[in-house]
Amino acid sequence: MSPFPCGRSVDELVAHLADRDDDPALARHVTGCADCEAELADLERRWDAVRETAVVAVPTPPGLVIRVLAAVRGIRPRLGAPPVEFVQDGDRVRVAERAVLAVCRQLAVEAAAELDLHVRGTAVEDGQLQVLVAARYPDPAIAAADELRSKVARQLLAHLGDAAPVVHVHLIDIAP
Amino acid sequence: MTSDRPLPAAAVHGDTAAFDELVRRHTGRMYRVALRIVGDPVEAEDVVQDAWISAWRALPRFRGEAAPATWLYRVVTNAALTHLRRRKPTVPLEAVPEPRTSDGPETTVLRNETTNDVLRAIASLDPSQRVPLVLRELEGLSYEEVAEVMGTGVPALRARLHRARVALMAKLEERR
Repeated sequence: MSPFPCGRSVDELVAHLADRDDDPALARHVTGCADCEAELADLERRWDAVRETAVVAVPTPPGLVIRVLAAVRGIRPRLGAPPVEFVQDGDRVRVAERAVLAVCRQLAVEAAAELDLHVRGTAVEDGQLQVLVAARYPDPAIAAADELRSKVARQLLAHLGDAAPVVHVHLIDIAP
Repeated sequence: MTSDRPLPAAAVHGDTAAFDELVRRHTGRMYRVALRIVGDPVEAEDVVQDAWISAWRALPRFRGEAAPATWLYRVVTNAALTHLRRRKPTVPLEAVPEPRTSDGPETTVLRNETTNDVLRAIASLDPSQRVPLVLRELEGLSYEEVAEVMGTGVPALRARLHRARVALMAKLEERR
């Protein structure tokens, strides 16, 4: 930034604004320098807007905590759950339930992102994968949800063979 | 309310209710941070979900040197940065939710405009500048706390914050 006639710069004044005690010499200078005083007053107005923003409450979306809890439960293995077995390239493979749940979520999240959908939770129970998604208005949500179901089912089959769960996609929210 | 400190250790030892309690206590704050970094409510929820899934997976490696709140700030800012790296370039940065306030209608409108200007200006900055700005200027963390969250030293953080503040002031000037 180009300096003022006094040799000081906007950069220095911004630093002064944020941490007034850091440079006592600048603090003394500013009170007697018309250029710096005017610029500082202008910067102050913008900085006040930042301070004001800091105290404005940001509401938590309704149901967010419940959705997060459900998402975390969706990747927690059941206590003492046996490994999942499937055939891959002619061999019998055993994988921990924890890994299967992680793969289910990961594939759903990645495929959803490609379709502009947003995963709000996954759960596997009785060989069924439930995927809860949100879409944005006015995107074609139903078609995207259907494509997501096919995509995730295909990828799970490739990863888990005959142990791949049946996939269900539920559209639970349309965001503006 | 009891301290957060024992909750991660309890969760590691199989107390799922302890982890759920962390979720209940910190999801609102994590959403606020995520929203202020990514600038979009739908994506902020994606970030919060990813952050909690990451926290659950990283739990066995959490040694308790940092307070759980500090650790969770780190988890959510990392999730937000990962999200921004993956983001499609067409996603708008303009959608910020209406801030909650108890003032009269005119004050509310003015404050919302101010707040939205600041949030949009922050959302237009480089992600590496958004994180320290959000943590220091909007969340009110100390330099030491922000440095700990970001895994950097205080002098390096101060330098980065200075550049971020100068950039923010310039963006706010452009928006006037």
